[in-house]
Amino acid sequence: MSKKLYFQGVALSLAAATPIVVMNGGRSVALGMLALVTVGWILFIAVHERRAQRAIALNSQEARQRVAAIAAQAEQALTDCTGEFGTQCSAVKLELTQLEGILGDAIAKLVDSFNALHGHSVDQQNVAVSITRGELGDGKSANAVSLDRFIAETSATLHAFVEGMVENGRTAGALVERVNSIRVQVDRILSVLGEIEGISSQTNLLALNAAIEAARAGETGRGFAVVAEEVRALSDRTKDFSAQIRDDMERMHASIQETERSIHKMAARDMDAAMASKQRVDQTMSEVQRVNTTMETSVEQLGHIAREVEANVNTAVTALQFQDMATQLLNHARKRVAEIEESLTEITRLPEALAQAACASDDEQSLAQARAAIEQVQVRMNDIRARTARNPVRQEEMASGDIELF
Amino acid sequence: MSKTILAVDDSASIRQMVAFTLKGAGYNVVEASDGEDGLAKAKGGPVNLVLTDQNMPKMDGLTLVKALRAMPQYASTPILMLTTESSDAMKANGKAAGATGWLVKPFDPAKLLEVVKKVIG
Repeated sequence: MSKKLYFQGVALSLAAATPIVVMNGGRSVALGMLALVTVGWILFIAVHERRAQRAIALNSQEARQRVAAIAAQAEQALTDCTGEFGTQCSAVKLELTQLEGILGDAIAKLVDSFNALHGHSVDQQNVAVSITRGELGDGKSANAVSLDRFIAETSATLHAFVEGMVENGRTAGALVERVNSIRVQVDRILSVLGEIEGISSQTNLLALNAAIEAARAGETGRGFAVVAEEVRALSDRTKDFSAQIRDDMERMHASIQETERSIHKMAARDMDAAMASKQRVDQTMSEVQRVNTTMETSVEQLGHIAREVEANVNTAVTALQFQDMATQLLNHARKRVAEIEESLTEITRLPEALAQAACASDDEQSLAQARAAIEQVQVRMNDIRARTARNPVRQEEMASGDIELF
Repeated sequence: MSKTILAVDDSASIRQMVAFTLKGAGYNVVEASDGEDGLAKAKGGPVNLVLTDQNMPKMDGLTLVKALRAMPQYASTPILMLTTESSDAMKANGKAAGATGWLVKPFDPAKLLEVVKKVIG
Protein backbone atom coordinates (compact mmCIF):
# COMPACT_ATOMS: atom_id res chain seq x y z
CA MET A 1 0.00 0.00 0.00
CA SER A 2 2.78 2.36 1.00
CA LYS A 3 4.86 1.47 -2.10
CA LYS A 4 1.90 2.04 -4.37
CA LEU A 5 1.29 5.46 -2.75
CA TYR A 6 4.94 6.23 -3.07
CA PHE A 7 5.02 5.51 -6.83
CA GLN A 8 1.76 7.34 -7.36
CA GLY A 9 3.24 10.40 -5.52
CA VAL A 10 6.40 10.32 -7.62
CA ALA A 11 4.38 10.01 -10.87
CA LEU A 12 2.10 12.90 -9.83
CA SER A 13 5.06 15.11 -8.92
CA LEU A 14 6.66 14.45 -12.25
CA ALA A 15 3.39 15.21 -14.06
CA ALA A 16 3.04 18.47 -12.09
CA ALA A 17 6.68 19.50 -12.68
CA THR A 18 6.69 18.87 -16.45
CA PRO A 19 4.63 21.96 -17.49
CA ILE A 20 6.71 24.17 -15.28
CA VAL A 21 9.87 22.85 -16.88
CA VAL A 22 8.45 23.32 -20.35
CA MET A 23 7.30 26.84 -19.60
CA ASN A 24 10.60 27.83 -18.04
CA GLY A 25 12.57 26.06 -20.70
CA GLY A 26 15.43 25.63 -18.35
CA ARG A 27 16.69 22.19 -17.86
CA SER A 28 18.53 22.85 -14.60
CA VAL A 29 15.59 24.58 -12.98
CA ALA A 30 13.33 21.85 -14.08
CA LEU A 31 15.58 19.16 -12.78
CA GLY A 32 16.05 21.01 -9.51
CA MET A 33 12.29 21.43 -9.14
CA LEU A 34 11.72 17.85 -10.05
CA ALA A 35 14.29 16.70 -7.55
CA LEU A 36 12.78 18.95 -4.91
CA VAL A 37 9.27 17.75 -5.53
CA THR A 38 10.44 14.19 -5.62
CA VAL A 39 12.33 14.49 -2.35
CA GLY A 40 9.34 16.26 -0.85
CA TRP A 41 7.06 13.47 -1.88
CA ILE A 42 9.48 10.87 -0.65
CA LEU A 43 9.66 12.58 2.68
CA PHE A 44 5.87 12.89 2.78
CA ILE A 45 5.39 9.30 1.91
CA ALA A 46 8.01 8.19 4.39
CA VAL A 47 6.33 10.12 7.17
CA HIS A 48 2.94 8.82 6.07
CA GLU A 49 4.29 5.29 5.94
CA ARG A 50 5.68 5.58 9.39
CA ARG A 51 2.42 6.93 10.76
CA ALA A 52 0.51 4.17 9.02
CA GLN A 53 2.81 1.53 10.43
CA ARG A 54 2.43 3.04 13.88
CA ALA A 55 -1.33 2.99 13.50
CA ILE A 56 -1.27 -0.60 12.29
CA ALA A 57 0.93 -1.55 15.19
CA LEU A 58 -1.44 0.13 17.57
CA ASN A 59 -4.47 -1.54 15.95
CA SER A 60 -2.75 -4.91 15.93
CA GLN A 61 -1.94 -4.61 19.61
CA GLU A 62 -5.51 -3.69 20.45
CA ALA A 63 -6.79 -6.51 18.34
CA ARG A 64 -4.44 -8.89 20.02
CA GLN A 65 -5.54 -7.67 23.40
CA ARG A 66 -9.17 -8.09 22.44
CA VAL A 67 -8.50 -11.53 21.01
CA ALA A 68 -6.54 -12.43 24.11
CA ALA A 69 -9.39 -11.24 26.30
CA ILE A 70 -11.93 -13.24 24.29
CA ALA A 71 -9.60 -16.22 24.32
CA ALA A 72 -9.27 -15.92 28.06
CA GLN A 73 -13.05 -15.75 28.41
CA ALA A 74 -13.45 -18.69 26.07
CA GLU A 75 -10.84 -20.62 28.01
CA GLN A 76 -12.62 -19.86 31.27
CA ALA A 77 -15.95 -20.87 29.77
CA LEU A 78 -14.38 -24.04 28.44
CA THR A 79 -12.80 -24.75 31.81
CA ASP A 80 -16.15 -24.18 33.50
CA CYS A 81 -17.82 -26.48 30.98
CA THR A 82 -15.28 -29.24 31.35
CA GLY A 83 -15.42 -28.85 35.12
CA GLU A 84 -19.20 -29.19 35.06
CA PHE A 85 -19.00 -32.06 32.59
CA GLY A 86 -16.49 -33.75 34.88
CA THR A 87 -18.82 -33.29 37.85
CA GLN A 88 -21.72 -34.65 35.81
CA CYS A 89 -19.62 -37.59 34.62
CA SER A 90 -18.63 -38.41 38.20
CA ALA A 91 -22.28 -38.20 39.23
CA VAL A 92 -23.29 -40.44 36.31
CA LYS A 93 -20.65 -42.98 37.31
CA LEU A 94 -21.85 -42.91 40.92
CA GLU A 95 -25.44 -43.31 39.83
CA LEU A 96 -24.52 -46.16 37.49
CA THR A 97 -22.72 -47.88 40.37
CA GLN A 98 -25.73 -47.25 42.59
CA LEU A 99 -28.03 -48.69 39.93
CA GLU A 100 -25.78 -51.72 39.58
CA GLY A 101 -25.90 -52.26 43.33
CA ILE A 102 -29.68 -51.97 43.46
CA LEU A 103 -30.06 -54.32 40.50
CA GLY A 104 -27.66 -56.86 41.98
CA ASP A 105 -29.41 -56.84 45.34
CA ALA A 106 -32.89 -57.02 43.84
CA ILE A 107 -32.01 -59.78 41.41
CA ALA A 108 -30.30 -61.89 44.07
CA LYS A 109 -33.46 -61.68 46.19
CA LEU A 110 -35.70 -62.36 43.20
CA VAL A 111 -33.65 -65.39 42.20
CA ASP A 112 -33.79 -66.68 45.78
CA SER A 113 -37.50 -66.05 45.84
CA PHE A 114 -38.17 -67.85 42.54
CA ASN A 115 -35.94 -70.73 43.52
CA ALA A 116 -37.74 -71.04 46.85
CA LEU A 117 -41.07 -70.87 45.03
CA HIS A 118 -40.01 -73.71 42.79
CA GLY A 119 -38.74 -75.70 45.78
CA HIS A 120 -42.01 -75.20 47.67
CA SER A 121 -43.98 -76.26 44.64
CA VAL A 122 -41.98 -79.47 44.35
CA ASP A 123 -42.30 -80.09 48.12
CA GLN A 124 -46.03 -79.49 47.91
CA GLN A 125 -46.39 -82.05 45.17
CA ASN A 126 -44.24 -84.55 47.05
CA VAL A 127 -46.34 -84.09 50.19
CA ALA A 128 -49.52 -84.62 48.20
CA VAL A 129 -48.10 -87.75 46.60
CA SER A 130 -46.97 -88.99 50.03
CA ILE A 131 -50.45 -88.43 51.41
CA THR A 132 -52.14 -90.38 48.64
CA ARG A 133 -49.58 -93.16 48.88
CA GLY A 134 -49.79 -93.12 52.68
CA GLU A 135 -46.06 -92.69 52.98
CA LEU A 136 -44.45 -91.52 56.15
CA GLY A 137 -42.81 -88.16 56.49
CA ASP A 138 -39.41 -89.62 55.69
CA GLY A 139 -40.71 -90.96 52.40
CA LYS A 140 -40.28 -94.62 53.43
CA SER A 141 -43.16 -96.80 52.35
CA ALA A 142 -42.09 -100.19 53.74
CA ASN A 143 -44.60 -100.11 56.59
CA ALA A 144 -46.82 -97.57 55.05
CA VAL A 145 -50.57 -97.92 54.98
CA SER A 146 -51.56 -96.69 51.61
CA LEU A 147 -55.04 -95.43 51.06
CA ASP A 148 -55.42 -97.85 48.16
CA ARG A 149 -54.39 -100.74 50.37
CA PHE A 150 -56.62 -99.52 53.19
CA ILE A 151 -59.57 -99.36 50.81
CA ALA A 152 -58.83 -102.80 49.40
CA GLU A 153 -58.38 -104.40 52.83
CA THR A 154 -61.39 -102.72 54.38
CA SER A 155 -63.49 -103.61 51.40
CA ALA A 156 -62.33 -107.23 51.52
CA THR A 157 -63.00 -107.48 55.27
CA LEU A 158 -66.43 -105.95 55.01
CA HIS A 159 -67.30 -108.11 52.03
CA ALA A 160 -66.14 -111.20 53.89
CA PHE A 161 -68.29 -110.17 56.85
CA VAL A 162 -71.29 -109.58 54.62
CA GLU A 163 -70.67 -112.85 52.79
CA GLY A 164 -70.51 -114.55 56.20
CA MET A 165 -73.86 -113.08 57.11
CA VAL A 166 -75.34 -114.16 53.80
CA GLU A 167 -73.94 -117.64 54.38
CA ASN A 168 -75.50 -117.63 57.87
CA GLY A 169 -78.81 -116.78 56.24
CA ARG A 170 -78.43 -119.69 53.87
CA THR A 171 -77.54 -121.98 56.76
CA ALA A 172 -80.58 -120.73 58.67
CA GLY A 173 -82.72 -121.56 55.64
CA ALA A 174 -81.30 -125.07 55.58
CA LEU A 175 -81.92 -125.33 59.32
CA VAL A 176 -85.54 -124.34 58.82
CA GLU A 177 -85.91 -127.04 56.21
CA ARG A 178 -84.47 -129.61 58.60
CA VAL A 179 -86.68 -128.43 61.42
CA ASN A 180 -89.59 -128.68 59.03
CA SER A 181 -88.57 -132.22 58.29
CA ILE A 182 -88.42 -132.97 62.05
CA ARG A 183 -91.86 -131.41 62.48
CA VAL A 184 -93.25 -133.65 59.73
CA GLN A 185 -91.71 -136.66 61.45
CA VAL A 186 -93.19 -135.56 64.79
CA ASP A 187 -96.59 -135.21 63.12
CA ARG A 188 -96.13 -138.68 61.73
CA ILE A 189 -95.24 -139.98 65.21
CA LEU A 190 -98.29 -138.22 66.62
CA SER A 191 -100.34 -139.89 63.92
CA VAL A 192 -98.82 -143.26 64.86
CA LEU A 193 -99.61 -142.51 68.51
CA GLY A 194 -103.25 -142.08 67.51
CA GLU A 195 -103.10 -145.60 66.01
CA ILE A 196 -101.54 -146.89 69.23
CA GLU A 197 -104.25 -145.18 71.26
CA GLY A 198 -106.90 -146.78 69.02
CA ILE A 199 -105.33 -150.17 69.48
CA SER A 200 -105.18 -149.54 73.23
CA SER A 201 -108.92 -148.63 73.32
CA GLN A 202 -109.80 -151.70 71.31
CA THR A 203 -107.61 -153.84 73.54
CA ASN A 204 -109.28 -152.32 76.59
CA LEU A 205 -112.69 -153.07 75.08
CA LEU A 206 -111.58 -156.63 74.27
CA ALA A 207 -110.32 -157.07 77.84
CA LEU A 208 -113.68 -155.80 79.13
CA ASN A 209 -115.53 -158.22 76.88
CA ALA A 210 -113.19 -161.00 77.95
CA ALA A 211 -113.86 -160.17 81.64
CA ILE A 212 -117.63 -160.24 80.98
CA GLU A 213 -117.29 -163.57 79.19
CA ALA A 214 -115.05 -164.89 82.01
CA ALA A 215 -117.66 -163.87 84.65
CA ARG A 216 -120.35 -165.57 82.61
CA ALA A 217 -118.25 -168.74 82.49
CA GLY A 218 -118.13 -168.78 86.27
CA GLU A 219 -115.40 -170.67 88.06
CA THR A 220 -113.96 -172.00 84.84
CA GLY A 221 -113.55 -168.54 83.46
CA ARG A 222 -111.75 -167.24 86.59
CA GLY A 223 -108.28 -167.67 85.05
CA PHE A 224 -109.44 -166.08 81.87
CA ALA A 225 -110.80 -163.18 83.95
CA VAL A 226 -107.34 -162.66 85.48
CA VAL A 227 -105.81 -162.60 81.96
CA ALA A 228 -108.50 -160.23 80.79
CA GLU A 229 -107.70 -157.94 83.72
CA GLU A 230 -104.01 -157.99 82.93
CA VAL A 231 -104.72 -157.23 79.28
CA ARG A 232 -106.90 -154.31 80.33
CA ALA A 233 -104.16 -153.11 82.70
CA LEU A 234 -101.68 -153.29 79.80
CA SER A 235 -104.09 -151.39 77.64
CA ASP A 236 -104.41 -148.70 80.28
CA ARG A 237 -100.64 -148.48 80.66
CA THR A 238 -100.32 -148.26 76.86
CA LYS A 239 -102.85 -145.49 76.86
CA ASP A 240 -100.98 -143.67 79.63
CA PHE A 241 -97.66 -144.06 77.81
CA SER A 242 -99.23 -142.94 74.61
CA ALA A 243 -100.72 -139.89 76.30
CA GLN A 244 -97.38 -139.13 77.89
CA ILE A 245 -95.62 -139.55 74.56
CA ARG A 246 -98.24 -137.37 72.89
CA ASP A 247 -97.74 -134.68 75.50
CA ASP A 248 -94.00 -134.80 74.98
CA MET A 249 -94.33 -134.88 71.25
CA GLU A 250 -96.75 -131.98 71.30
CA ARG A 251 -94.37 -129.96 73.44
CA MET A 252 -91.61 -130.96 71.07
CA HIS A 253 -93.79 -129.91 68.18
CA ALA A 254 -94.43 -126.57 69.82
CA SER A 255 -90.71 -126.14 70.48
CA ILE A 256 -89.93 -127.05 66.91
CA GLN A 257 -92.45 -124.56 65.67
CA GLU A 258 -90.99 -121.92 67.96
CA THR A 259 -87.48 -122.81 66.76
CA GLU A 260 -88.64 -122.65 63.21
CA ARG A 261 -90.11 -119.18 63.73
CA SER A 262 -86.96 -118.03 65.51
CA ILE A 263 -84.78 -119.34 62.74
CA HIS A 264 -87.04 -117.73 60.18
CA LYS A 265 -86.90 -114.47 62.06
CA MET A 266 -83.15 -114.64 62.51
CA ALA A 267 -82.51 -115.64 58.94
CA ALA A 268 -84.72 -112.86 57.64
CA ARG A 269 -83.13 -110.30 59.94
CA ASP A 270 -79.57 -111.45 59.13
CA MET A 271 -80.27 -111.48 55.44
CA ASP A 272 -81.80 -108.01 55.54
CA ALA A 273 -78.91 -106.71 57.63
CA ALA A 274 -76.42 -108.43 55.37
CA MET A 275 -77.99 -107.00 52.25
CA ALA A 276 -78.23 -103.53 53.81
CA SER A 277 -74.64 -103.79 55.04
CA LYS A 278 -73.49 -104.98 51.67
CA GLN A 279 -75.24 -102.08 50.02
CA ARG A 280 -73.75 -99.60 52.51
CA VAL A 281 -70.29 -101.11 52.14
CA ASP A 282 -70.58 -100.93 48.38
CA GLN A 283 -71.73 -97.31 48.58
CA THR A 284 -69.00 -96.39 51.07
CA MET A 285 -66.32 -98.13 49.07
CA SER A 286 -67.58 -96.48 45.93
CA GLU A 287 -67.43 -93.10 47.69
CA VAL A 288 -63.97 -93.79 49.11
CA GLN A 289 -62.85 -94.91 45.68
CA ARG A 290 -64.28 -91.73 44.18
CA VAL A 291 -62.47 -89.66 46.82
CA ASN A 292 -59.30 -91.59 46.12
CA THR A 293 -59.68 -91.05 42.39
CA THR A 294 -60.33 -87.36 43.03
CA MET A 295 -57.21 -87.22 45.18
CA GLU A 296 -55.18 -88.93 42.48
CA THR A 297 -56.56 -86.48 39.94
CA SER A 298 -55.75 -83.63 42.32
CA VAL A 299 -52.21 -84.93 42.75
CA GLU A 300 -51.87 -85.17 38.98
CA GLN A 301 -53.13 -81.60 38.74
CA LEU A 302 -50.65 -80.60 41.44
CA GLY A 303 -47.92 -82.27 39.39
CA HIS A 304 -49.08 -80.37 36.34
CA ILE A 305 -49.09 -77.13 38.34
CA ALA A 306 -45.62 -77.92 39.69
CA ARG A 307 -44.38 -78.44 36.14
CA GLU A 308 -46.02 -75.16 35.11
CA VAL A 309 -44.39 -73.41 38.07
CA GLU A 310 -41.05 -74.94 37.07
CA ALA A 311 -41.48 -73.70 33.50
CA ASN A 312 -42.45 -70.24 34.78
CA VAL A 313 -39.49 -70.20 37.16
CA ASN A 314 -37.23 -71.18 34.26
CA THR A 315 -38.64 -68.30 32.23
CA ALA A 316 -38.14 -65.99 35.19
CA VAL A 317 -34.58 -67.25 35.69
CA THR A 318 -33.89 -66.64 32.01
CA ALA A 319 -35.38 -63.15 32.21
CA LEU A 320 -33.59 -62.32 35.46
CA GLN A 321 -30.29 -62.72 33.68
CA PHE A 322 -30.95 -59.27 32.29
CA GLN A 323 -29.04 -58.15 35.37
CA ASP A 324 -25.84 -59.68 34.03
CA MET A 325 -26.34 -57.97 30.68
CA ALA A 326 -27.45 -54.76 32.35
CA THR A 327 -24.31 -54.83 34.52
CA GLN A 328 -22.10 -55.31 31.48
CA LEU A 329 -23.91 -52.50 29.69
CA LEU A 330 -23.55 -50.31 32.79
CA ASN A 331 -19.85 -51.10 32.90
CA HIS A 332 -19.60 -50.23 29.23
CA ALA A 333 -21.50 -47.00 29.85
CA ARG A 334 -19.17 -46.29 32.78
CA LYS A 335 -16.20 -46.87 30.51
CA ARG A 336 -17.66 -44.42 28.00
CA VAL A 337 -18.16 -41.85 30.76
CA ALA A 338 -14.56 -42.36 31.92
CA GLU A 339 -13.39 -41.83 28.34
CA ILE A 340 -15.47 -38.68 28.12
CA GLU A 341 -13.88 -37.46 31.36
CA GLU A 342 -10.42 -38.14 30.01
CA SER A 343 -11.21 -36.45 26.71
CA LEU A 344 -12.50 -33.43 28.62
CA THR A 345 -9.12 -33.17 30.29
CA GLU A 346 -7.56 -33.32 26.85
CA ILE A 347 -9.89 -30.63 25.54
CA THR A 348 -9.15 -28.46 28.57
CA ARG A 349 -5.50 -28.50 27.62
CA LEU A 350 -6.31 -27.43 24.03
CA PRO A 351 -6.74 -23.65 24.67
CA GLU A 352 -3.48 -23.60 26.58
CA ALA A 353 -1.71 -25.36 23.72
CA LEU A 354 -3.28 -22.98 21.22
CA ALA A 355 -2.27 -19.99 23.34
CA GLN A 356 1.28 -21.29 23.46
CA ALA A 357 1.16 -21.78 19.71
CA ALA A 358 0.00 -18.18 19.28
CA CYS A 359 3.04 -16.98 21.19
CA ALA A 360 5.43 -18.81 18.88
CA SER A 361 8.22 -16.81 17.22
CA ASP A 362 6.75 -16.93 13.74
CA ASP A 363 3.49 -17.66 12.06
CA GLU A 364 4.54 -20.96 10.53
CA GLN A 365 5.68 -22.35 13.84
CA SER A 366 2.53 -21.02 15.48
CA LEU A 367 0.33 -22.69 12.88
CA ALA A 368 2.27 -25.95 13.14
CA GLN A 369 1.92 -26.03 16.94
CA ALA A 370 -1.78 -25.23 16.79
CA ARG A 371 -2.31 -27.92 14.15
CA ALA A 372 -0.41 -30.46 16.28
CA ALA A 373 -2.52 -29.63 19.33
CA ILE A 374 -5.74 -30.07 17.33
CA GLU A 375 -4.51 -33.30 15.76
CA GLN A 376 -3.69 -34.66 19.21
CA VAL A 377 -7.28 -34.09 20.22
CA GLN A 378 -8.48 -35.82 17.07
CA VAL A 379 -6.19 -38.80 17.75
CA ARG A 380 -7.56 -38.93 21.27
CA MET A 381 -11.13 -38.95 19.97
CA ASN A 382 -10.28 -41.81 17.59
CA ASP A 383 -8.77 -43.73 20.53
CA ILE A 384 -11.97 -43.26 22.50
CA ARG A 385 -14.07 -44.42 19.56
CA ALA A 386 -11.88 -47.50 19.14
CA ARG A 387 -11.87 -48.37 22.84
CA THR A 388 -15.63 -48.10 23.23
CA ALA A 389 -16.65 -49.49 19.85
CA ARG A 390 -17.14 -53.11 20.99
CA ASN A 391 -20.24 -53.58 23.10
CA PRO A 392 -20.02 -56.89 25.00
CA VAL A 393 -23.79 -57.26 24.93
CA ARG A 394 -25.44 -57.63 21.55
CA GLN A 395 -28.74 -59.06 22.74
CA GLU A 396 -31.76 -56.87 22.26
CA GLU A 397 -34.29 -59.16 23.92
CA MET A 398 -34.42 -61.76 26.69
CA ALA A 399 -35.00 -64.89 24.57
CA SER A 400 -32.60 -67.66 25.57
CA GLY A 401 -29.38 -67.58 23.58
CA ASP A 402 -27.98 -69.97 20.99
CA ILE A 403 -26.18 -73.15 22.00
CA GLU A 404 -23.36 -74.51 19.89
CA LEU A 405 -21.27 -77.56 20.69
CA PHE A 406 -17.95 -77.65 18.86
CA MET B 1 -21.06 -89.97 43.62
CA SER B 2 -22.33 -86.79 42.02
CA LYS B 3 -20.23 -85.04 39.39
CA THR B 4 -18.65 -81.68 40.12
CA ILE B 5 -19.19 -78.65 37.92
CA LEU B 6 -17.10 -75.49 38.23
CA ALA B 7 -19.21 -72.39 37.51
CA VAL B 8 -17.07 -69.33 36.80
CA ASP B 9 -18.82 -65.96 36.47
CA ASP B 10 -18.26 -62.51 37.95
CA SER B 11 -22.02 -62.08 38.25
CA ALA B 12 -23.19 -63.47 41.59
CA SER B 13 -26.75 -63.82 40.32
CA ILE B 14 -25.67 -65.87 37.30
CA ARG B 15 -23.63 -68.15 39.58
CA GLN B 16 -26.66 -68.41 41.83
CA MET B 17 -28.92 -69.39 38.91
CA VAL B 18 -26.42 -71.87 37.46
CA ALA B 19 -25.91 -73.45 40.88
CA PHE B 20 -29.65 -73.71 41.49
CA THR B 21 -30.24 -75.31 38.10
CA LEU B 22 -27.43 -77.84 38.39
CA LYS B 23 -27.78 -78.68 42.09
CA GLY B 24 -31.46 -79.40 41.46
CA ALA B 25 -30.36 -82.09 39.00
CA GLY B 26 -27.99 -83.65 41.54
CA TYR B 27 -24.69 -82.10 40.47
CA ASN B 28 -22.15 -80.72 42.89
CA VAL B 29 -21.39 -77.09 42.00
CA VAL B 30 -18.24 -75.13 42.87
CA GLU B 31 -18.47 -71.38 42.23
CA ALA B 32 -15.68 -69.00 41.20
CA SER B 33 -15.95 -65.23 40.68
CA ASP B 34 -13.36 -64.79 37.90
CA GLY B 35 -10.82 -66.65 35.78
CA GLU B 36 -8.08 -66.62 38.40
CA ASP B 37 -10.42 -67.88 41.08
CA GLY B 38 -11.69 -70.53 38.66
CA LEU B 39 -8.18 -71.69 37.85
CA ALA B 40 -7.29 -71.91 41.55
CA LYS B 41 -10.42 -73.94 42.29
CA ALA B 42 -9.81 -76.22 39.29
CA LYS B 43 -6.34 -76.89 40.68
CA GLY B 44 -7.84 -77.48 44.12
CA GLY B 45 -9.92 -80.48 43.18
CA PRO B 46 -11.18 -82.67 40.37
CA VAL B 47 -13.83 -81.02 38.22
CA ASN B 48 -15.93 -82.90 35.66
CA LEU B 49 -17.15 -79.85 33.75
CA VAL B 50 -16.22 -76.17 33.61
CA LEU B 51 -18.86 -73.57 32.79
CA THR B 52 -17.30 -70.15 32.34
CA ASP B 53 -18.21 -66.60 31.41
CA GLN B 54 -16.00 -64.66 28.99
CA ASN B 55 -15.85 -61.05 30.24
CA MET B 56 -14.54 -61.12 33.79
CA PRO B 57 -12.05 -59.09 35.81
CA LYS B 58 -8.51 -60.41 36.44
CA MET B 59 -8.73 -63.26 33.92
CA ASP B 60 -11.26 -63.70 31.13
CA GLY B 61 -12.89 -66.94 30.04
CA LEU B 62 -10.74 -67.67 27.00
CA THR B 63 -7.55 -67.20 29.01
CA LEU B 64 -8.95 -69.59 31.61
CA VAL B 65 -9.75 -72.15 28.90
CA LYS B 66 -6.19 -71.94 27.56
CA ALA B 67 -4.72 -72.23 31.07
CA LEU B 68 -6.89 -75.29 31.84
CA ARG B 69 -6.06 -76.97 28.55
CA ALA B 70 -2.38 -76.56 29.39
CA MET B 71 -2.94 -78.69 32.50
CA PRO B 72 -2.79 -82.45 31.75
CA GLN B 73 -5.72 -83.25 34.08
CA TYR B 74 -7.97 -80.83 32.17
CA ALA B 75 -6.77 -81.65 28.66
CA SER B 76 -10.04 -83.37 27.79
CA THR B 77 -12.44 -82.08 30.43
CA PRO B 78 -15.51 -80.48 28.84
CA ILE B 79 -15.44 -76.66 29.07
CA LEU B 80 -18.53 -74.72 28.10
CA MET B 81 -18.53 -70.96 27.56
CA LEU B 82 -21.63 -69.22 28.97
CA THR B 83 -21.46 -65.60 27.92
CA THR B 84 -23.29 -62.64 26.42
CA GLU B 85 -20.69 -62.64 23.64
CA SER B 86 -22.27 -64.06 20.52
CA SER B 87 -20.11 -63.00 17.57
CA ASP B 88 -18.76 -65.67 15.25
CA ALA B 89 -15.26 -64.30 15.76
CA MET B 90 -15.47 -64.82 19.52
CA LYS B 91 -16.89 -68.32 19.06
CA ALA B 92 -14.02 -69.13 16.70
CA ASN B 93 -11.58 -67.88 19.36
CA GLY B 94 -13.30 -70.10 21.90
CA LYS B 95 -13.09 -73.13 19.67
CA ALA B 96 -9.42 -72.41 18.97
CA ALA B 97 -8.71 -72.04 22.70
CA GLY B 98 -10.18 -75.49 23.34
CA ALA B 99 -13.71 -74.80 24.52
CA THR B 100 -16.20 -77.65 24.09
CA GLY B 101 -19.21 -75.48 23.37
CA TRP B 102 -20.62 -71.97 23.38
CA LEU B 103 -23.82 -70.99 25.16
CA VAL B 104 -25.11 -67.46 24.69
CA LYS B 105 -26.78 -65.76 27.65
CA PRO B 106 -29.44 -65.62 28.79
CA PHE B 107 -29.65 -69.36 29.33
CA ASP B 108 -32.81 -71.39 29.75
CA PRO B 109 -32.26 -73.64 32.82
CA ALA B 110 -33.87 -76.63 31.10
CA LYS B 111 -31.69 -76.23 28.00
CA LEU B 112 -28.56 -75.72 30.11
CA LEU B 113 -29.32 -78.92 31.97
CA GLU B 114 -29.92 -80.73 28.69
CA VAL B 115 -26.51 -79.66 27.34
CA VAL B 116 -24.73 -80.51 30.61
CA LYS B 117 -26.32 -83.97 30.64
CA LYS B 118 -25.35 -84.46 27.03
CA VAL B 119 -21.73 -83.50 27.76
CA ILE B 120 -21.09 -85.28 31.08
CA GLY B 121 -24.17 -87.44 31.57
